[in-house]
Amino acid sequence: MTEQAEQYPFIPMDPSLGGASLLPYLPISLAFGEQTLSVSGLLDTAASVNVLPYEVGLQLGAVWEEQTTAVQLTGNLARQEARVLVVTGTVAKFAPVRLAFAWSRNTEVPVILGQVNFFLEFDVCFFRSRPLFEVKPKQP
Amino acid sequence: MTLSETALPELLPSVRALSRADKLRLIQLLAGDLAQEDQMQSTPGSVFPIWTPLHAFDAATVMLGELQRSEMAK
Repeated sequence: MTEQAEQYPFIPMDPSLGGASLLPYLPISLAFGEQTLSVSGLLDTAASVNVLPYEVGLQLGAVWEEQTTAVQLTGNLARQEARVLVVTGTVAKFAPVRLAFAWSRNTEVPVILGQVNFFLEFDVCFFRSRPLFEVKPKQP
Repeated sequence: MTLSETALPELLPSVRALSRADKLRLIQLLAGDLAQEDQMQSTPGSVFPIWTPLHAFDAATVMLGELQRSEMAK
């Protein structure tokens, strides 16, 4: 059965700039162990990987020293250490999925939802002119 | 000679004739204008962080491996 896509508005980052500052932020629930956290993730098709800021990982109860798989990020995130953290992500009413994040030591980066593996799990359609986007789980 | 050099001496008598309240109001207006100009001038040279991990394919490969391992461990 094909699931109905969920629709979300683009979010203005700077109200004084209006439509010029819209970005696709998706509300998503992350769970790690017993902890669950609701966050907004930036849908970033240019990002090779998902990225989790350091503080969010801590709020999820993750322990830096226990995550032993290091990954090398690029761009402004290249200077800081990052380790893989696999969590459970839930979007709207859809079934939870396993999401691998590059958990960065950076505290300013937003939660980034990138190609590996958010876009491997969800089909996303952007309608910037309207301005909204739709998300639904990948087809089996 | 610039416009400001010619305009200021002409304006000063009028400005000095203003009431105290109007002088304060004028100061506020000019301070606001200057702040706005500074902001506009600083924008082109400002550095804005772009966090996108573009072309982080090695990291992506490692993370796909970790996902497979976590699936098998379930």
